Amino acid sequence: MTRPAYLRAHIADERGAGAIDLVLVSAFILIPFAMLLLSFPIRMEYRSMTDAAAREAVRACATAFDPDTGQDRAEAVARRILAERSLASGTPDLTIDCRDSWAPGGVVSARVSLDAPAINVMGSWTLGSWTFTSSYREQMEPYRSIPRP
Amino acid sequence: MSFRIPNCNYRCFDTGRRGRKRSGARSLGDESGAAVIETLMAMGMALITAAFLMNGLLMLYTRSVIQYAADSGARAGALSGGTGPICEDTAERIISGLANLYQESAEVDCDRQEALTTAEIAARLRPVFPSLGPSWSFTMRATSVTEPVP
Repeated sequence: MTRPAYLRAHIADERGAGAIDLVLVSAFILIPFAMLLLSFPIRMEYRSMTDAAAREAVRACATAFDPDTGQDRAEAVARRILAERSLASGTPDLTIDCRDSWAPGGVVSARVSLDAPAINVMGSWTLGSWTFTSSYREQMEPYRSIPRP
Repeated sequence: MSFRIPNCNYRCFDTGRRGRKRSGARSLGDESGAAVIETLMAMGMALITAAFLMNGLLMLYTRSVIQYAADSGARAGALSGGTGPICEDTAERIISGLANLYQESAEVDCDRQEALTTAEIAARLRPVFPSLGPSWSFTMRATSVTEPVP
C-alpha cells in the first residue's frame, strides 16, 4: 500500500527546516568550535607554566653552590611557579636531575609533568584532562668558582 | 439544501499542492520570503558569535602578553645587577608595546630578594566593544631565580 501523494509531499515539505538547522548547527558545530577556540590560549598558558617551572628549576640547580641545596631549591621553585599562577591543575610530577649531574661544566636537567583540563574556557568551564610535559637542560658554568665546604 | 465549508485551503490529491485562497490575505502557512528572514537571522547570529569570539581571543591574547611581561620582568630583575625598577620597567615596556590597546590598567610590582625575584601584574582588560561583556581583572605572577653573586 503506497502513501497518498499529498502525504509524501507533506513529509518532503521543508517548512521549519531553517529553525532546526540553526539549532543543530549551533549545538553541534558553532558552540563546540567556539569552546575549542577559546581554550587554545589557556592551553598555551599551561604550556608556558610548565616551561617556566622546568627552566627556573634547572636554573636554581645550576646556580646553587652545592647539589643538595640545588636539588631542594629547584623543587621548591618549580612547585612555587606551578602554584602561583591561578590555573586549575593536578599534582605535578617533578623529575630534577641535580644531585647526580651537578658539577662545573655538567648538564643539569628538569622534567615537569602536569595534569590540566583538556578544555578550559577562560578559566570558567573545564572539560577532560591533558598532561603537559616540559623538559629543560642547562650547562653549568665550567669555570665558576664554587666555595669548598 | 446548502453546505458551508469553513476551510477552503485544500490540497490537491495528486500533487499535494495547496490551492490559492480566494481571499487576498496570506495564510499563516505561507512561507514566501521566509528564506530572507532565516538568512538574516543566521547571519546576525554568526556575526554576534564572531564578535564574541574575537573579544574573548583578544582578551586571552592580552592575558598571555601580560604573563610574558611578568616572566620577562622577573628574569630581567633576577640578573646580576638587576633591580626591582629594572624588572618593572621591562614589564611595562612589553605591556605598552604589545597590549596597550586592550588593557585598561596594569600595575606592575616587582620584589627582588636574595634567592628569588618575583613580578606581579594586576591587570584589568576592557572588551573590544563595550556591549560585548564586562571587563576582566586578573593578577599574573612570575618568579625567577636571582643570580647569586659569590
